[in-house]
Amino acid sequence: MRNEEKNGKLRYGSRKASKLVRCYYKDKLGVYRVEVELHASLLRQNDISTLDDFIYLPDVICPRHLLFVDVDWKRLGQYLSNNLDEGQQISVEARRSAASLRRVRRYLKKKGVVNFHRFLVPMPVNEEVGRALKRWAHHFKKEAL
Amino acid sequence: MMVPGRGVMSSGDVRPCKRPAHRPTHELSMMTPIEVRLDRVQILSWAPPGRKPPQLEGYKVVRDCFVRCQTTTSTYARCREYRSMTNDTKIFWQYKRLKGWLKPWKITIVADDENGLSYEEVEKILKHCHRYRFLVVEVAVDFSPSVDVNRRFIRQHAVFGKSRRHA
Repeated sequence: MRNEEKNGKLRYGSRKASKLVRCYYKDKLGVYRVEVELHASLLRQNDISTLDDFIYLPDVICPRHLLFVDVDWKRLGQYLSNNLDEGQQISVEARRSAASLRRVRRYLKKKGVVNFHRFLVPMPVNEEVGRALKRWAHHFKKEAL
Repeated sequence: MMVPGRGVMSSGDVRPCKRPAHRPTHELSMMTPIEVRLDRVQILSWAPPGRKPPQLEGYKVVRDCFVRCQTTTSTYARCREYRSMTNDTKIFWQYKRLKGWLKPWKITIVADDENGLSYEEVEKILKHCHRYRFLVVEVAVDFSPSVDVNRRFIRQHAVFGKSRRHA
């Protein structure tokens, strides 16, 4: 796992969970790849049992299992200054750890902000991802006919 | 902090983000910025006792060998590897189960990097399988450099449901 970290690979979820996501740079194609591996439990939950059901994969994946968000710093700052004594200071510290969403979440949880997800806003790139997934599903369906 | 399509200033205000100057615009228009591919499919299937994996049209058998126990539990005794004659698609067909509770066949289809798996390719295998179920379906989302999605961006902005990052 440490080697993967050095190579720049990121892993979310696990092999025993309902999904595993791997993110890495693919040299051969010159692209950054996000691989979403859906396991049997998740496929069963979403009634994906035949090849024809694959056209529903875009709805399963995006936005529930693949979403790009941004922190609404303005709203978070307001919330912190209204509800916590050291709100200003916490806001500054949170911004300092903005390189990792996980780190911000962990820091704010430690300071008593448990509903961090309320301060996350979806990014425009999600629409593009959704469109790309739909495009793939459309082609896949076309091959089936 | 820069994000694709826009930039967020330290004050939290949003301003439009410029494209990188070094890349010519005609090149950007030719590339599809986000490409989706079906990367890997794993199937479990029932098969009559003692049935060997079939010959597949358009594929050659590269290897058919005994597989030593990989963990504490032995699973399948043999694995047949197929390679596509037209692209780099690989199929690993595990058979001769060593435990009664396993399904007779476990098939892994690994796509060609550039094309991904097509409906036809998967169907070609499924027609040999009775009462199958999908174990793993892997979808790859490829971001071209013009989208500015990289490791740093993923750490800053990606949320994958309830799954957390494993260091």
